[in-house]
Amino acid sequence: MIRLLQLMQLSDSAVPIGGASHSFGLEGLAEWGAVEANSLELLLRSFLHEQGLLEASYCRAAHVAGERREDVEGLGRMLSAQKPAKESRDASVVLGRRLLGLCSPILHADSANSLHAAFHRADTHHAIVFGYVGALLGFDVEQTVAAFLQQSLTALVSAAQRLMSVGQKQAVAALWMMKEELVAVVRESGIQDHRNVGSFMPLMEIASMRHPRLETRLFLS
Amino acid sequence: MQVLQQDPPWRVVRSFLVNGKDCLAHLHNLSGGVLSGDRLMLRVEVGEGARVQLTSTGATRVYRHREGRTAAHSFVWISVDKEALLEYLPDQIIPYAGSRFVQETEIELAAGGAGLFWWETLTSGRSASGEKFSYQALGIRSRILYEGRPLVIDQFTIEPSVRSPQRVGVLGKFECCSTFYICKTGLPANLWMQLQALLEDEAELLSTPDLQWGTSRLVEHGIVVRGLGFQSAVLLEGLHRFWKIAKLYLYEREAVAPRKVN
Repeated sequence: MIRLLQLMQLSDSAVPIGGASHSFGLEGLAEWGAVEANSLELLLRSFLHEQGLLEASYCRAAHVAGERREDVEGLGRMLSAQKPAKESRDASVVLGRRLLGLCSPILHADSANSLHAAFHRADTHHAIVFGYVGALLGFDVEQTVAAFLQQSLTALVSAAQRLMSVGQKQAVAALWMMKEELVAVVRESGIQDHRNVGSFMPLMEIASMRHPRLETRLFLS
Repeated sequence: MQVLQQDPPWRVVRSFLVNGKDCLAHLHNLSGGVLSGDRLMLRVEVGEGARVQLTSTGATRVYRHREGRTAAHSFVWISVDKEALLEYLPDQIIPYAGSRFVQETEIELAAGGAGLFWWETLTSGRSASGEKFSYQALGIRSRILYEGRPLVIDQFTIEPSVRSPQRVGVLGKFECCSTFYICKTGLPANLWMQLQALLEDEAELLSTPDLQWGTSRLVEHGIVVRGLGFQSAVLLEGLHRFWKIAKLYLYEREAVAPRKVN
């Protein structure tokens, strides 16, 4: 029970790592009219099966690395190379770095040391830090990956609520409707080796690339 | 240029001198396209200080898959040595209805000024014949490495009958996708920031509701340009504009479009 509560806390959208400051390209898509309130669920589904699967596979690989107390420099490099949009890549690293900072005091000293040694030279992508911390805290790998994806989708929906006319009922329903597919993506991430997983979301990537030049911006990325 | 080995269906047609000392080579698929069961392999070594343009004689046409055969597969390995430049500018990929194709490309850049301009354009198929995303599967596995470290990993499989590529956030309404990598090892980060600003200005200029361009810096040593549109010819015009800007900035030389063989 304790572990469940801990996992819920770390994956809560209110955990202070700055998740609410980033839209990962959604703001650009909304600006172009490429996503609207009535197509939000379609976007979430695309995200889940593309970027979500990619991140889930790295979260899972990091969990395995965490159980073995291995370093994750190679994982970080590979995930960075798979994120062509610098804005989204940097945002992912910043979120992970903040999570790293938050977790250090709550871990046992030896686990905290392992965490810092593992990320000493690694890109601190959120998915990788989350997976690694999940292993150090003894969370089940499936639940860790599922919680990470749930947090990512929640952050996107939260961003959508600020960018479009998405009400609370639609937001809750959209997230609720994604659960089965989310679980399917968690399973798929366990079947495929992370080295073979990719993502194809060029429109969202271009939106992220162009984000710094939007005339008005609500989000950092 | 040395051709060490070549077997059908691929053939290096000939090489031309460009600007008096650069080498332009054309790759030609003698069978006219990629057939199911094909395993096409290409290995290119660009030696120290060499300057090479490598292009195709036409679009890569991927023909309908025949039952009982394996998917067509193309493997490309390229190494670029120090102070060398490779301009790898193939024509667009046209996956015909019912085709299955995987393209794997790995490019290794050496330290000390190895340069690369490499673009790829994926189309929806033979759109003039009414075929749009009628292929069975298209897999892309692209990597650019620098001293063994990945600068780019771009890998995905599109299976239109499983999930439409024109989903929200994926291609959206668009039908063609171009990716252009601009790399040169050993340059300071501020130069890439300046070049990206120039390219981003161009991206803004070129982008319309029917054409979207974006640029971004890679992890190190380069920039990626992505474009989405409805016609590969329109995307190609944009690619030339970005190439021109980047080549002038990085090499103080004009980008000369590869002469085509007919």
